Amino acid sequence: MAGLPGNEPSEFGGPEPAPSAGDLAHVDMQDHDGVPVAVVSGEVDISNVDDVTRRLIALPNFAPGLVVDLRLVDYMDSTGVSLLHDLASRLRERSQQLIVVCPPGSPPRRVLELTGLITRTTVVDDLAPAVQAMRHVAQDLPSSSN
Amino acid sequence: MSTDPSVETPVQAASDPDRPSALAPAAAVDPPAEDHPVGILLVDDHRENLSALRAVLEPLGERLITAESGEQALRALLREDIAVILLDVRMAGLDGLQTARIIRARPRTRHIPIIFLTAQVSEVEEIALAYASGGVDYVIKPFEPEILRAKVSVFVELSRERSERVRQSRARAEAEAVARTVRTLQILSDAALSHLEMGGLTAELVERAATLFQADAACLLLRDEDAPGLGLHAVRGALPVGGDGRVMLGLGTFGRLAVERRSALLVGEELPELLAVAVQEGDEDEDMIRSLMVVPLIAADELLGLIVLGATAEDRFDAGDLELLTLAADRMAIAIDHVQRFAHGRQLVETLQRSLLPDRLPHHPRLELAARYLPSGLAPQIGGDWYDALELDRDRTAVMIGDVVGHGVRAATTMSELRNALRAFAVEGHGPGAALHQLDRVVHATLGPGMIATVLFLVIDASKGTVTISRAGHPPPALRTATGEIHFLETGGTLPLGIDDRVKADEAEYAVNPGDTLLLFTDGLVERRRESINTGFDRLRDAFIKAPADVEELCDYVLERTVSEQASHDDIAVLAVRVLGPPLGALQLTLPAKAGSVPLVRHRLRVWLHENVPELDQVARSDLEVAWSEACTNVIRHAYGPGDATFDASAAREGDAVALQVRDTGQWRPPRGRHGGRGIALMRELCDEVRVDRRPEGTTVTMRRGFSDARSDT
Repeated sequence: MAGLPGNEPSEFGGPEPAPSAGDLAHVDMQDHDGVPVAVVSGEVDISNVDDVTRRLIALPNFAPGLVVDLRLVDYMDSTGVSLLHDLASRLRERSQQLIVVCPPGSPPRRVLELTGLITRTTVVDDLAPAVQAMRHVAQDLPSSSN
Repeated sequence: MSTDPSVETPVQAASDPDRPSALAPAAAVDPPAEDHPVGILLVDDHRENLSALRAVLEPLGERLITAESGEQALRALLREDIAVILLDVRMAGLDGLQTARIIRARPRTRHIPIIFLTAQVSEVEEIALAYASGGVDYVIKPFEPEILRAKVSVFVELSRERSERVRQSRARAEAEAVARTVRTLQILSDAALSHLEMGGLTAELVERAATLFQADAACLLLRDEDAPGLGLHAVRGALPVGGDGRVMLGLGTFGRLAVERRSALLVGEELPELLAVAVQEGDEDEDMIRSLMVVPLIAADELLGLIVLGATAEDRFDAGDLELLTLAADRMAIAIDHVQRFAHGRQLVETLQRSLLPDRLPHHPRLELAARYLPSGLAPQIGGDWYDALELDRDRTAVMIGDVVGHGVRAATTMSELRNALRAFAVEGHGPGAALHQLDRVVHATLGPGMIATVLFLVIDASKGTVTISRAGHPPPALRTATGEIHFLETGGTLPLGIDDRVKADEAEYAVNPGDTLLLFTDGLVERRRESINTGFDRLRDAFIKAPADVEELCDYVLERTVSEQASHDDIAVLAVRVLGPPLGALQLTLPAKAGSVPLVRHRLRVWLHENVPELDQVARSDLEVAWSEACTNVIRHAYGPGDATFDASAAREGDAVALQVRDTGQWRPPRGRHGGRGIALMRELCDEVRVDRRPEGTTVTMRRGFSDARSDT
């Protein structure tokens, strides 16, 4: 796997106490020039998928969409895939866009590829093009919607 | 010269002018008359035995001299001219073997044939030692008077023949010939004594005979069991019989001599036609065989074969040589006869014994088993050692080893009965202690008094990591821990079976951990004669510490280092069990069927993979984590209702694969809602093999992912 910055695999060293569900993943909502970016880090599975979903759907109604940055995600399984799939549906119903940032070779990317989600969702390799694309969507918004 | 401090220095024949010696010049010998009785020395520390021997041998009309100890015998040999010695092996003070060695060490007495008297047939080690100490024969007490008389008279005749030569000859050359006779016989007897295996014996005999008689070609032909006539067994130099070495009885020169049991010296035209033709066709004239000595080998009135010596010179052999070779052939025949009987008996015994032991040991995924059986090295007898192992259920394996006291068919059939009975008790579910108690009652009820057996019975529970032991008079098993310590698990011991069936065998439980190895054995492995048993246990401990991990190699290693180079007097069984399974490397978890368990099992797997499958690449690690979490997630979503429930998850390394298993005891609801079906599909993508075994009592998902090589993760 490529040594991508900010995407180091988790420490495999010695036995460590299992983190509580609250510590397993973090969602940091950021604003990149008017584009909301949810930086997810840690591990997403059945134990915290509801918490992560709650954080992600707390999105302002006027936003053009959401960039979900998975570059700091060490682990994600089909529950994460379902989460993104549902999130995309919810946003689509509101004419909002979902762009997922997930670098090739990373653990979540492999799961996105194997489940086929990558063909049904916009997945880009890095954050900058995602933000740029979203800004483009935002500019088009007034003309294309109303 | 070997001397015993308690024995006077032997008087040399040469310095004792009053005493005649067989090796001294004939002129010094008082010539005995043709029928002059010769001396027979009888040595036994029991007077009644001496009386019995006297009674048997009196009809021979020879002079009987008795001695009640080895020391007395040695003194008698200084005074008396003795033709043959009958020597009891077991005597107080200087025993028979020590006495024989001293007799053999004295020049004056070393030629005197010694017939050993041994107490029982099972003392085969004694018999071998007796041969090594210079015995020419042995007789087992209580002896058959006829046989004993016959054996003694053979040697009396031999002695008389020798005395006759000495008496008749006035020339020093003749005396030297006698000396040569004795030396030749001795050299050939020595060869006979040092072999218990036919190939080595015949090769040695032919080699020595050829050297002694300066033969250019020599061979030994023996009767074969599975082919007619005589077959070639050993050859030195050219083959002096021509052809392929096979001789049909009654046909041709060799065949006729064999049937007629006649020795012959053949020169020139008397040479067999076949050989003559072969010789004529030979290119090298100097390699032609121009004289032959052919002597039959006869033991117990049976024709065993022929020894044939050939020379390129026509005058290499003379009548004296033929006579000497004929004498020597008697000894060769005795030795060959012994080895043949021994080998034959041994083969039968081994076949029978192996038919009584299990063909294969169970293949438990968490145990490695190996066993060896070595028949007694000397006795062509069936032994009473046995072992067995069987799987009781998924976790528990029964392992047993035992020794029925005694040898022979009775011991073997007893062994077979005990083995089957113990199997039955084990399968019925009796623990080791109870099973041995039941077995003891069987011994008492059916086998009758005097049948004693020792048994060691273990039940190994691989999943619990315990071994439960009960032993009835058997040596304790040895445990080698993963850290390399050796413990003999000594508790739980009671009396052997057949002593007192009211005493119940104790039972003890020990922990067995990853990498521990148990070694079960019979006493033949640690017992040697004239040695403390502690020495044997120490030797075993040293060997076991250094033995390889693989159980097959371990058995061989331990046997090589503990079994005496000399043939063992007892049979030996060993069985090694190495504990693998969950305690060794595998991961096994039982957790509540709640969402919070999924990260927990995943993190445990991550650590386990890191420690146990370090060569796994990063992608494979991630994939296994996902697959395993998916399976656990499915259990939580589908297997149970909202109440409290648990599930099992395990991971194990199986060669070049990792096997993951998730097991629940619930009944799956069909997948429902948004997430349905995605997990299983992903598992199939991530693993080489996914098996879902859905039963009323629960569902087991087994996944396997192989890894062929460790890819670097750059």
